[in-house]
Amino acid sequence: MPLTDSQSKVNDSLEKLKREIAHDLRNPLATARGLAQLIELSSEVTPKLQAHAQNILVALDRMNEIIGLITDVPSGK
Amino acid sequence: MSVRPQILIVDDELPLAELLAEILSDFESEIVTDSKEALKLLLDPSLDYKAVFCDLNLPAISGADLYRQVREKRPGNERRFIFVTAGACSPESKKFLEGIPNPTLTKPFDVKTVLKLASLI
Repeated sequence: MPLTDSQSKVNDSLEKLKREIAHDLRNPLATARGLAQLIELSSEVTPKLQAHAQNILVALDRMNEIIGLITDVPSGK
Repeated sequence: MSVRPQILIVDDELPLAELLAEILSDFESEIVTDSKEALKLLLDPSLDYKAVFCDLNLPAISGADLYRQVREKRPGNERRFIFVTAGACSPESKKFLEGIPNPTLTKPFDVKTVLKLASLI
């Protein structure tokens, strides 16, 4: 059954919202992840700090998966 | 004597741009957060960046429009763009990226992926 105009508008708004969520959350996430990875790869930090950095990476990758779940939800088109 | 930057990083998110510059610290890089300023630099014939890491979703002038203007006014230089995206693109952006041969870097990116792209410079 084709969508009504109002249903299409709601879907378009949802799509836009999902893109904004992805953009606005992934920007700080990417910064945090990149910095954690630089710490992890650095030869100047202790093994304990490297382990902390690895745990941060695991947590941030989980956050990124959650963002993916939100943005991958189909909007009924 | 100042060294000419080899890489231009265009992103309105300064911490992210600074992270890219840090990852690419083997190269001289220049950061611009304002797309209008980026356009001026990209069209300046005295500047010759080897690579342009450009956010696709920029206010004022989009990454796609920067690319188009460079392709029109400094043909060939558009090949140096590497687009940085948050993944979920608008249909227009998706179509744009599918229509060009340039590499794309998706946020959150891996440090090793950035270094691999830089090794191609």
